[in-house]
Amino acid sequence: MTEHNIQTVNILRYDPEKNNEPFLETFKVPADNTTSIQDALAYIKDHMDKSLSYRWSCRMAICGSCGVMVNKVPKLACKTFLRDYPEGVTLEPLANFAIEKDLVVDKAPFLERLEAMKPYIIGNDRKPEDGPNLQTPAQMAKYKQFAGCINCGLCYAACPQFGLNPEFIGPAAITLAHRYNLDSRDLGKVERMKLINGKDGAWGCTFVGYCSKVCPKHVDPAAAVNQSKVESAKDFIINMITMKEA
Amino acid sequence: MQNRKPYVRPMQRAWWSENNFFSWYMVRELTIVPLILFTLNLCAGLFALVSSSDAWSNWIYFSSHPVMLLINVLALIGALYHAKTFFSMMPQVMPIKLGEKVVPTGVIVGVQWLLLVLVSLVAIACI
Repeated sequence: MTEHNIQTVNILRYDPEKNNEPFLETFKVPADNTTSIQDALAYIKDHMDKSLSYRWSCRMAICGSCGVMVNKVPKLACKTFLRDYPEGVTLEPLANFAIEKDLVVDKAPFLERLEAMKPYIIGNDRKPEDGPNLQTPAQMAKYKQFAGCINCGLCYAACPQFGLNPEFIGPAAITLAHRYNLDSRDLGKVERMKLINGKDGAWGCTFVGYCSKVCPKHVDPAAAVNQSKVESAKDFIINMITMKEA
Repeated sequence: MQNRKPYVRPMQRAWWSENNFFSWYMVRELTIVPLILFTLNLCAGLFALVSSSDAWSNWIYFSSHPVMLLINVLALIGALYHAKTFFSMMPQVMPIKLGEKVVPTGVIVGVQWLLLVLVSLVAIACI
């Protein structure tokens, strides 16, 4: 059954060429049971205001492009439906990031942190002629959950520590570092631990836990960050015993 | 890109009041306040105990004051709430495996509550 009704969608608008600060604009959008927030945004852009800017790509919670604040909660626009908000929605750009235009934020701070963590296999000298680098199911199970991250940045928008301290490396980057540290094929843990051990690394987290609540892929970044604290503590003790510099 | 003028939204001082999840996080952090007062009073009691019987009687009198009783009740509620949050985080921070199987979250949380009850019973029995 698809009944069309008119839904209120408030959007925080900001045009750097015209505005000094963002303001809310209200749109009335036709919606049925299948209308996602992203469909609503597309409708507004196609039929009401072509200047509206927002990010999107895959429409199926894989690309991680369409993160927005829906009634102050970070969500993927493609995975959130108007039917769940009969009173209407207020859409804002992801919190804790600077607004470029309308719902588009500058994700560079997150991407810089991700890059710094080297989220790829390093220190493994195997060559293609050595054949596949096999893992047992148990070895894969150690990191598989954390490998589900789609870099959408919702966890950064949910993290008050990142909002209060922009130097904090933050949930997803530490999660990806932890994911590779747990991978039996990787030998880059020593390099990554230098950043995780720092004051803006895992210890900058106070386990608010909201990152795990909003994660659309159930990656549980709070678990990864806090397991990294355990690893950091172990690293500290081992370095102390072996008299190595942390 | 030449027309960039990124707008930074300042974080509100009352950011924690914007959503229930953050509010409960702040409650968890605030449980430290009655616990500090309780601990300070307990330390004062230990000092009083080793100094003189007069000091001890004074401490007993001071600790019976309704305000101190209220702080004790708040400290107990705070400690139990903090324990609840701590216990529920434990499986995330230290997932436990028995052989190949991950021990279910509920079991880890339940065992911690069981230990808390056992330790409390032993402590009460020793009084």
